[in-house]
Order: sequence, then C-alpha cells, then structure tokens
Amino acid sequence: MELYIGGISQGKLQYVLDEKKLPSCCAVDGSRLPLDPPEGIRILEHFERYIRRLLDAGKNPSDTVLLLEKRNPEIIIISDEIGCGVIPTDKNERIWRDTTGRMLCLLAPHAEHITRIICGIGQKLK
Amino acid sequence: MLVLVMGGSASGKSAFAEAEAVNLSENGPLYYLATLDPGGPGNDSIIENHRRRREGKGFMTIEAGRNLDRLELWHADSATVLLECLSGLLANEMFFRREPEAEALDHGTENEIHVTEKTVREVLALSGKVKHLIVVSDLIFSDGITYEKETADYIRSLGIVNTAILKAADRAAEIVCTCPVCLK
Repeated sequence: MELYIGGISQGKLQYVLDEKKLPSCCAVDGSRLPLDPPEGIRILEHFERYIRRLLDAGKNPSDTVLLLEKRNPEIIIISDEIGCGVIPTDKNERIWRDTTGRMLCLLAPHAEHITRIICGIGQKLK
Repeated sequence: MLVLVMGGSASGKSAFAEAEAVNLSENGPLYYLATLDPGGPGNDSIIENHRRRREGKGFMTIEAGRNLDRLELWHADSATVLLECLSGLLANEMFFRREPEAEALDHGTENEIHVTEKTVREVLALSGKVKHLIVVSDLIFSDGITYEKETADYIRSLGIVNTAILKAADRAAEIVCTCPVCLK
C-alpha cells in the first residue's frame, strides 16, 4: 500500500499515473467506491470523500479502511490534505477533517511509501 | 533546547512531540502544559485522546491555559516541558481575557499586537528557564477561506507567533501523516 497526499489541484493523480505508468481508468473515486470495499482496486483517489461517505452512512471508518487495505494490499491511496485550516465550527465538518487525518495516520505505519505532492512534484516522506 | 513541532489537524504531531519529550527528558522531570480549553468545540475528545495516549509515560500535567509567566515548575532547570499547544495558548490569550488590565485595552490591532508579543515573550522566557521545551503548534494557513475579522486576526497572529518561535528554535519539524519533515 502506498499513500499520496497533497493540497487540492496539485497534480496528485497525474503524478501517480506517470510514476506507475497506469491509465486513468485504474483510478476509482472515493465518491463512488462501494462502502463495503471490494477487491481489485489499483488506485483510490479522493480518499477523503470516501471517509465522508463512511461517516454519513454511520460505518466505522477504522474497520473499513483496514478492510480496504487487507483486500487490496497493493492499493495506492490518494487523499487531499484537508487538515491545514481553522477548526470548522460545524461539528460534522470537524469530525470529517479529524477522521480523515486519523485514518491517514492509521495507514501510515503500514504504507510502503508516503509521498506529498506539491505543484506536481513528489516530496518523499517515507 | 527548544523544539517546535507543527502540523495540521490529526497529522500525528502530538504523538511525535510526546515521544520527543520522553526521549529528551532522560530521568529529569517531565511536564505537560495543557492549554486547550475543555469547553472549546471538539476539544473534549481531543483532550481525552491525548490524556489516554500520555498515560504511563510519566508526564505531570499542568493546566496552563494562559499566562505562562505565572507558572511555577519544580526543578525547572532540569525539566523537559511539552507545551500543547501554542495555538490553544494564543486563542486563550486573545479570546478569553477576563482581567481588568486586558479589558482596558482597545480591541483590535493594539490588543492583537499586545497578545502576540506577550505569547512569544512568555514562551521564550519559559524556554530559557527549563532544560528542554517542546512546543506543539497548528498549521491553519491553507484552507483558502476568507474569514471574518476576529478569525483573520487570530490566523495572522498565529503566523507571527509560529514564525518567532521557529526562529528561536534549535530544531523544528512539520508532521505530515505521522512523518516528520525537517524545517530546521
């Protein structure tokens, strides 16, 4: 499993596709991935949207994320960084932001590589 | 030694800072200065998480919501102190000032400069008194949202405070997804 994170519009997906020489059809969006994570996922982009849907559906994010990884040991997970702002006043926004961060921290120790994308450039974190 | 540990929300910065404090402390006293206001939005669960993780690591917890200059630490010169967090301390200094001398100050720019300078001065004074100070702070500067004046003032002040502490720090890192990115 590999993690790629970064701000919005930083070229995260394109970086991964170029790096791995994969076509864009290999990527599934977090807004569409089934809540019971299937096998055979190569790239999951917008991990943060997946977390939002898990929370909205009342599913346990940690269990689901670990299951996603277990069923897809080679998965590449791409996530927007959403934690670098003022604490949102809305409770659900706050929970979403913190849960996305915590789920990335949960995955980080298992990740083979962690890369942050800034302006299309990859900064290796792990 | 002064160490600054920054990161976004739920980035793993607190766990990193705690480990750093424990490593630096050797056998000296280990203090945890808690600045978060338990009444703040979502702070109760953050405080609970932090408290659970700190258990058994030997921290003596001191509530230090404001006025670090009034803090008295036993054996300060051999102590390692973890300040969690600078952003909470600044928010308390800016928004929860109840003392007469503060009331007398005009709100707005004068207050903002006063509070910013006070916060930096007191953190640096504390750093001079103890053996090691590890300061945790938040990076809240990249959400692209234009806030109303009060919040915009806070963001700007935190930027100034972070910058001043980083300048004085011996070491500084941004924590991203549990990974330290060395800044200094």
